[in-house]
Amino acid sequence: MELRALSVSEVNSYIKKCLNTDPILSGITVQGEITNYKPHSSGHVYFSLKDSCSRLRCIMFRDYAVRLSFAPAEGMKVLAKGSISVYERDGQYQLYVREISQDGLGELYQAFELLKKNLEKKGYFDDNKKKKLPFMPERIGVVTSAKGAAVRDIITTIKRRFDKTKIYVFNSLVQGDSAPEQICGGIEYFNYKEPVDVIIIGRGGGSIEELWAFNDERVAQAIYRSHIPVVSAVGHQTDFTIADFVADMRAPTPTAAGELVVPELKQVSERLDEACHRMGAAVERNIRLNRIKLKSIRDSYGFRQPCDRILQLKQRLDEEQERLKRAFAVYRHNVKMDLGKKVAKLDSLSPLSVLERGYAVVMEAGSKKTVKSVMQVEKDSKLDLRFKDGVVNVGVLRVKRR
Amino acid sequence: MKNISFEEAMERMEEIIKSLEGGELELDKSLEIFEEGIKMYRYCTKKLEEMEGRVKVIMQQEDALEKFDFELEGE
Repeated sequence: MELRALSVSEVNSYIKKCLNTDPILSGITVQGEITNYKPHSSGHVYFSLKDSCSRLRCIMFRDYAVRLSFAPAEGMKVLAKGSISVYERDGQYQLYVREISQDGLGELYQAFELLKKNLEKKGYFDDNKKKKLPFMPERIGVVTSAKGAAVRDIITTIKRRFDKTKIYVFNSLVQGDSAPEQICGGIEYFNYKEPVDVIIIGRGGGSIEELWAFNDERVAQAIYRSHIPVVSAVGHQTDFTIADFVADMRAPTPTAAGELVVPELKQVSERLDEACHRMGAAVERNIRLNRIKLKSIRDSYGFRQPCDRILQLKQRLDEEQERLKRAFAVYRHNVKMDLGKKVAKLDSLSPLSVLERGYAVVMEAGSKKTVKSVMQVEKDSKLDLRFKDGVVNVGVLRVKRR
Repeated sequence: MKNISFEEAMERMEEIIKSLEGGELELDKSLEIFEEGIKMYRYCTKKLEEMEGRVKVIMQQEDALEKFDFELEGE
């Protein structure tokens, strides 16, 4: 039997009915890579799924699209669940998508684990290879997208804490195929062209695919080879990438990276001033202690002893002097007394006192020579008789010697 | 003094404080390291004063790199 000619609408409508009632096509899951991804302002999302040799048009209505737990993107491998039907106006069959989940997560995870194990064996994660971050970098290199939220967080955090540091942002893709190469280029740029004291590499949060550039072996090598300490700041608190393990320091977020790399200027100034103050106080105290020590030495018994001895000798000297004085006085007294007696005796022996008593002294005439013996006298010589009150000149008539 | 970093100067100063506060030093020595500490303080203060903040962005233009002043949006 031959059917009448059908209108285009009738054909499309019929095909639609066939497809809609097909037990397989009314509820299928399709595996493929997203391409031509176009979110519409209406909230509906249009894209295609492709594999190596074919394409399938897809649409996801707003009611379903808002329930997505991640942002689908170009090149992403997904599993799309839905039903095949026909858009009658264009005679176009397409997949009406109700759910999308990311495909290949298992594969990615395996690759991640493998690379991690590999690099760990090579010593890329060794603690003793980690470089210490500078305390107060003068120049900081940041490798990230110059347009992202991460760079903004990093810069504002650094400036808020320490606005005296130079920040160089190396603009780099942070997702997609070219990202690893550009990130490596940034690390090398700061190592060889524009020397900085520390490098931050990072990006904001995203799906595991979006963060994948930071799981690239080339990036790991560039970090490992860097002469400059590298801080990784990839995604959120819970996202761990290979870069985090190789980096000299991992920051949980870009903001945290800013906090890690610079000290707070206020704290540095305070620490400096405190140091200056403490040094001054300590040295002052040291001088004071020394002064006290000196005084205690000066006042100590040992130091006083020689003075003591001198004082004692001085006292002794005084005493001796007194004794000497007294002894001398006695001596003088005695001498005086003795002299008195001697004068009296002398008095009693004086020839004058004998004359006084009525005796006379015989002397040779005209001389002062006393005549004490008959032997001295000749007959007819002349003698002087001296009395107490005058002299008598006499002649010798006879000398009678015994 | 030329080849010392800010951090090293800070650390040296803190060592000096420890020695000085320990009070074991002879006066001459303590005055000597005090002087050194003050030098470190002046060095650090000067360095802080001289440091100047700036943000530059390096963009890849074709095959060359170009440097611009960076402006944060909303600043």
